[in-house]
Amino acid sequence: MLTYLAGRLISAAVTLMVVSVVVFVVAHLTGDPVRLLLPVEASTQEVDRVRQQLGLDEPLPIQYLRFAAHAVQGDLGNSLRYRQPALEVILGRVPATAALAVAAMTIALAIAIPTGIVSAVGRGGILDRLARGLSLLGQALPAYWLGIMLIIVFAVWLRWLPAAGAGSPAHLILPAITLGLWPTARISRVLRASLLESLNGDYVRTARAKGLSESRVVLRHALANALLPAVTVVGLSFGIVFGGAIITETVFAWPGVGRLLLDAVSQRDYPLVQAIVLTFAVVFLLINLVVDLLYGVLDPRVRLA
Amino acid sequence: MSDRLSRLTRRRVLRMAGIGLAGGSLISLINACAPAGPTPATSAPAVPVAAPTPAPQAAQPTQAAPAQAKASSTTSITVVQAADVPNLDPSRNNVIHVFNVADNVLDTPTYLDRTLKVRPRLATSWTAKDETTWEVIFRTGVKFHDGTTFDTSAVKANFEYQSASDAPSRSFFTNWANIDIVDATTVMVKTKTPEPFFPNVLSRLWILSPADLKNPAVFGSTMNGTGPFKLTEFTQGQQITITANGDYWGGAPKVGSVIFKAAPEASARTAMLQAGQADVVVNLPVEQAKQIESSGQLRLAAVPGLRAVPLMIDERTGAPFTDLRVRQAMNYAVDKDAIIKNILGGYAQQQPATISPLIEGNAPDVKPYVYDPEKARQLLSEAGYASGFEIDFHHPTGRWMKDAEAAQAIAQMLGKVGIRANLLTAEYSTFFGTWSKGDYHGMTMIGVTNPDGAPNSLFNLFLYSKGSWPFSWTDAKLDTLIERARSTMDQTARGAAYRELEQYVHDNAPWVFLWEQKDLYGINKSLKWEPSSNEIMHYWDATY
Repeated sequence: MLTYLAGRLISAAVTLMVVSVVVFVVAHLTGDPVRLLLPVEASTQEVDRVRQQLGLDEPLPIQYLRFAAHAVQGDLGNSLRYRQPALEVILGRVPATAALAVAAMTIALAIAIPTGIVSAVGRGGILDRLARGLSLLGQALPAYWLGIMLIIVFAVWLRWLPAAGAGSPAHLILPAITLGLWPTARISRVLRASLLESLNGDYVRTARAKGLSESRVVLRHALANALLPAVTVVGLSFGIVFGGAIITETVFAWPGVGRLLLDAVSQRDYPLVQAIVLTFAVVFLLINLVVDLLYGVLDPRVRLA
Repeated sequence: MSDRLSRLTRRRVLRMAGIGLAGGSLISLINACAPAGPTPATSAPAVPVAAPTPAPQAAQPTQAAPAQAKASSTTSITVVQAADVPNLDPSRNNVIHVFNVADNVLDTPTYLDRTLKVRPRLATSWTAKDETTWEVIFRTGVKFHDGTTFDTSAVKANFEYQSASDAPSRSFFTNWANIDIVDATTVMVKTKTPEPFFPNVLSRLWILSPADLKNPAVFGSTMNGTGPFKLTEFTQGQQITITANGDYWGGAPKVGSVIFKAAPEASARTAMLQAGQADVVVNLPVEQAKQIESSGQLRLAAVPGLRAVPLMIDERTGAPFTDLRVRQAMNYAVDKDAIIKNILGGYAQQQPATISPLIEGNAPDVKPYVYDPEKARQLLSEAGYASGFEIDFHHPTGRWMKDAEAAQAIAQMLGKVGIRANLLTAEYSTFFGTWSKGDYHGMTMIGVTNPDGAPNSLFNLFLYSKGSWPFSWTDAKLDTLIERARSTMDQTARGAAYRELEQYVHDNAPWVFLWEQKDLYGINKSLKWEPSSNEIMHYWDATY
């Protein structure tokens, strides 16, 4: 187990290094932040001076090595726009993104588990077809369209909920629904498939032969086994929801890390972009690791070595 | 037995995980939903005082709107901008949404009113003692929000802070040699060369409390000026609240507070206005402006702005742009009226030459090039390009009003006279970064402005061969005309010099002159407030 964990941590470190190189190179290839930082009226001499101050006049490999040396000590540089440590800016936004991700996943699980069960049990029936149709729709609807539709209906027409922004629990509802729809569809489909497989298992036939009620057979015996693949999908969806909230956060003006990333990219705030991408990578790797470890705990047949 | 135990362990793990997840969600939810900063203290109702208000132009009264169209309360205005304020220091954050907060909390020696006329603010008078010396006299009895008394030492300290080497704002003060304090109310400013638009530059000098200047890091949470509003809340990414300064030397503002929020998505901004959760929204796209215009509940303000959008011709490209007839032909080939009407929704006006009709130096006699494709073909033919030519045409997307759509229309119009334009589209940051380094050749659509309401920036940058920009138009006569106009202290003579300069620029067509776009605001109908032409919003005279 410890060997496995050590191996995973080493591979995570390598992944992070690769991510950092890619994000560094891509960010620096896309444009010059200095001209965007200064007013249009700034002279070439001023631009050169600021470029020098920020260390952007040095060769790219040197800039990367300096960045990497600081990064391993936890210093991801200062945001050019916020004029404070990039990590500090991100940590200020993490609670909002985490709240949104947790709310979205709560909605997703609350809908996906019952629909997945109903679909599998009544396979081919009207409820199954309806659930599958909705699930397809959930995966196909783009978040920016759904978000704007929800705003128009619930904020502008009905005036039940705030249109955008943050500051009260009500502000969380529409973005959480928008963000939660995609994992709802995904989890529901996976659960349906794995539950169907479980329902064909020998132990289900045995349980039924013992005379157990159908609900006990499904919920107690089949579902317990069918949940295992769903755990992986839930874990991965959580990572994707956390990192993929960019569009939802932008549409709803939610003050999270996703919106911060979009701003940072459009303003060429390199240190902030790098720090956010690295933070996302760390979160994703951690969730993956936790899911894999959890898998071993949940299923005695899986042994991690 | 051991199997049972291990199953129990798994169940326990699951149960604990479930409890942990639920608890975690609750904590996160509570954290994210609770206001992160201190709750803004609501100020006492504004008390009128005898001193004159700094903004003599009262907002145009509008018809009262039904109650449901109004947001929050009658003492608060919620403004939704398009971008977040990352840091409150306006001298280090050269962006309009920071200026909009700063200009209500900090006073400047002068300010530009809604029609861009220079008005006194902290300074009561300014006089040119000679061609390069200005005397400025300031108010007495003014206090900073932190309780300290304002005097000219604060002016000098702020000049030094804002012209420091790491301050983007320093470009406004590059022509200032030094400031000498004469006494507590008077300073003498020496300029390196004559600067007739010195009063305009004064509108860019924010006066912060000297205590703040000693600790710039505090701007994240506080900012003390002498302005009509005090900063009471700055929650990054969420909102900024400024509340009325009851002791303001110019009289307390009529509203109790202004709340600045940000919503990058234009449709969300419009929805917030429609849902009564915002009183003012900025940067409306054309479609949404039309939607607001046609609704009975809301008001659209389409304000003629200083932002011109021309096509700049890169002289370094050489032929065919070296031929004046080709440049004029391009100006005749574009049907600006049709684009303004059909693509820009009518929210723009034709640009005759460089200087906006709103500011000093404009030449009313200079008329825009008319649409005449026949004449364009004839000029091209005379220049030896009867069968046209091919050229690169760079433009951004999503930055200026309908930029990409307008660029396509222009390319088609140029195509009709034989000029085959290769449209090269880029996202704005990439576009601007590449263009400003001088890496684009051919022609480029670019939005430019004179931010201080003086006519010089555009000439100095793009048309003056000895200017600071990495590339510029090269024309000795143009250089002479620019130098003469910008250094003439006598207003009448200066007006004549600018008129001659504008006529010359128009006739020599270094740009394809297109249009000046209007700034589009959606406003709660019961709010009596008008936006300004330089995009900076002042709320001290706003009222319901």
